[in-house]
Amino acid sequence: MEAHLPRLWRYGLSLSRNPSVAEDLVQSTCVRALERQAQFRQGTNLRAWLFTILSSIWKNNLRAEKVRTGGGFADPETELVFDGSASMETNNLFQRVLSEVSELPEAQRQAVMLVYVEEFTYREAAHILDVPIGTIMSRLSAARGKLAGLDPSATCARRTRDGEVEEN
Amino acid sequence: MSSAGKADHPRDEDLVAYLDGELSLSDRQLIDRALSDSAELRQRLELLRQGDRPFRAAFDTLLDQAPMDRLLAALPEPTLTASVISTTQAPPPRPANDWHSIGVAAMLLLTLGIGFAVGFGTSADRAGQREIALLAELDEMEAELEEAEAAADAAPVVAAKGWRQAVADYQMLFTTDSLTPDQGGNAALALASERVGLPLDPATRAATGLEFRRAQLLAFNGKPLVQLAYLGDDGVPVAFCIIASNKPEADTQYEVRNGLGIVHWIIGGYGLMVIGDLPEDRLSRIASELRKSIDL
Repeated sequence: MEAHLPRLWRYGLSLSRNPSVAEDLVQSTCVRALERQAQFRQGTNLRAWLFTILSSIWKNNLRAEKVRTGGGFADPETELVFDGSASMETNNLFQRVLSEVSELPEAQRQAVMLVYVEEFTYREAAHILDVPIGTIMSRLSAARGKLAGLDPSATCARRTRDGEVEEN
Repeated sequence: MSSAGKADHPRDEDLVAYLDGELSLSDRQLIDRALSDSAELRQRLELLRQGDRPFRAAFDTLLDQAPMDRLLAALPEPTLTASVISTTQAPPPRPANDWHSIGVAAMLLLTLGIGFAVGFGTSADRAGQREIALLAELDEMEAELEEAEAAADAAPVVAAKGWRQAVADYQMLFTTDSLTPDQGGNAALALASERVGLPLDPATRAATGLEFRRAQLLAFNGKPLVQLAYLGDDGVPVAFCIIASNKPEADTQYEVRNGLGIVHWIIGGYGLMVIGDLPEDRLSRIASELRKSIDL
């Protein structure tokens, strides 16, 4: 499990955009994984299982709590920064990518994290978030459209699948 | 593919899934056909491709910041049973979503584009030839993917993609404007020469039709990686990159990554590559001139 902690923390950070909430998420995920270890089927993907637990905790507990207590989100630009040891220009590039992803609506950000950063398949990502695979597809497509600077209203009017409403 | 995407007009999500290598072979073929029939769709695919980023590389920089001491301290006791822990392993990179697949997609498009440049309404004969060429290229890409997977099994995840892919990801972000005007300076070139242990000055004047713009000292896997950036007569950004390598010497080879042509070789303990959106013959000529300019 230790091997997965940095990735879980990074995923928690991208969801909450707040390092201490990210730590709470990882801790709660570990506690729940231990409680439910009987449910884990050996030979299946432990990483995917842990990401499923973290996603569920975020959806059902912490996110609601953050909103309820009016804590709001930290300014993404001040949270998703890193101390790069690479050249300034590589740092600038990566920093820009982090900022762009931070600014995506949560549902799109989550899909981008799972598929493009964690490299889960669409099917795995759909399972982790407990949504249909088509939802993953439309979230990624919306995210790409946004990052490419396409007009979101035009994209939505023309492209959004029937019956699917983005959460953000 | 979405149900609507099976119709004549694939939706954005189908195109993104196509770029991500998430479609079945038959759905992929449907998109290929639709792309070859519609300039508008090809343009749409290119727009969506511009929404791509080096997501993983950027986010990998956050991993080191995870507060491991506190996270480990907070791990519940007792920890998971040994049987569960034994399944713990770093995830293998998923080639289907790798930049490689984008490279394949780019090549597909390039191939289609060439077909269209030759003339509208391609003949069955020409289509057949394209298909054969394409299959050969795909075979090559697949072999490369297998090689990358094998390497990934043995190497840390961050290194799995290799330096040429890292350079290709970076080079994708360059435009004519990135290198206009001259941003060079002898200091960067001197530093790069010193760090990589090679006199690089001759390489700034060696390539016909390329104007040297600047030197950058980057790093890959902790090793200095020098990038010499040039602007072609036609405004195409081209880069010549050098990194220390302990691999056996290898003669020049051509490949395509992220839709960019690459000529690469290994000599005298260095890996070298020339990358740019240029035809293979021109890129090879440039590589040959640059190769001669480096004292190896």
